Amino acid sequence: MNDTAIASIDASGDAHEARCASFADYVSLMKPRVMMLVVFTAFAGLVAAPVDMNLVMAGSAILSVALASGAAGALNMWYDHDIDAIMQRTATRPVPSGLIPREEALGLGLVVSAISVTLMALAANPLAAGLLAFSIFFYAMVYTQWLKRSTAQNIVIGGAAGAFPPLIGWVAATGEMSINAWLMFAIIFFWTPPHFWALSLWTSKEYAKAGVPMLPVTAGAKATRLQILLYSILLAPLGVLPAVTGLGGVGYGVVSAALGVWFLYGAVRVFASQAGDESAQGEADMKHAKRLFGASIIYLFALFAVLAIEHGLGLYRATGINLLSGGMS
Amino acid sequence: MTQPVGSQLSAEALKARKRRSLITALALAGFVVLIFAITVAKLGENASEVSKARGFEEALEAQRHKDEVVIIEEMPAEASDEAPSGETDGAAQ
Repeated sequence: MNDTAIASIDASGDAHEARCASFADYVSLMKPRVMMLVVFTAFAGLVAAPVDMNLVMAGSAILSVALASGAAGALNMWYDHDIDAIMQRTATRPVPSGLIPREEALGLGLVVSAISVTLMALAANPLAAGLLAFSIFFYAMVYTQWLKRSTAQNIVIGGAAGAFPPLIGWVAATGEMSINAWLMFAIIFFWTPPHFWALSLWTSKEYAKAGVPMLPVTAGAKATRLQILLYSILLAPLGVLPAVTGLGGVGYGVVSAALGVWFLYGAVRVFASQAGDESAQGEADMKHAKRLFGASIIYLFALFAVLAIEHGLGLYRATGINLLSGGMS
Repeated sequence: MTQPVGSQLSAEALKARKRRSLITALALAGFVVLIFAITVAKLGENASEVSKARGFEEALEAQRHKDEVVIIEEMPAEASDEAPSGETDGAAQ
């Protein structure tokens, strides 16, 4: 553990005023806000699965997903310490700010990864544990170390890492993958680009400074706004699809359709704006991108909340259409 | 250039280290308890499956026994129906 931050003196002999790393700093190393969304979608996947799971096992499976998310976050901060220090948004993170040494972030990430995968294997099944291990590997190695710094499609392909949790939740409960589980994966996969690109429209200068090839940096704001719209056009109907595969009920169908229209409206407004452009109008229009970013979080949270409520509280009412069982019922 | 001063930690640093150590110990204890709970839950599930299997075997055994009784009960009647009249007569004698 790091005590050097406060107990250090510089070459001139003056003591640093930096504070000592607290437990909260180690928690922030594990990206708790990302963890919450990850845990929530994994929980929804577990609850929506057609198999009831023992409460102790279910709680342990969710805990292992939370730990895996935290481990992946720590590994990300270990590797990205250089670019995090350049960007204002990430400069205060525990590693670039010097509160936690890099090697501790790496150690924490590796140890917690091993604990989370072992816990999942014990509480659920080897398939869920394997998927969990793969999702950590995908985020920490494929996305963080390779895609993020090499291609503008980084968050498109890397988005798969964030799409795994509901699939893992489902597999933890059932022991197998199904079309409905992959459908939840697909929703998050197609949600990730408009979510991140809306954010990157107003942080593109920071990304450019750090040399990260985000889409607004490489292709410009206009191309990014178009991509946001295209992915939103794909996402809106995809979000409703669970209502016709038997995964979501009537309530889900209504809510997802309304949210899809709302999200699409936000994407159209961003597309029609000049958000991200160098002009003064571009700065003024940035509010549309910020609104879409906020809306995207509410959209995903609400979709999975309705799924969890329908299945968890017994409020599921079939829509009467089930494409997986061959039509109307 | 900074130089760590390992043995001269301030009171705040010592307090922070103690707090982290305590939380780590609690987390470790929690992990042990969790593994125990998982083991108990798994044993419970297995016991339930074994008792279900035993119940099934007992039911199967009971059904088999019942079937045997029925067969035995039906056998003389079938034997008398199917047997040639001479043999029956001979048996009677």
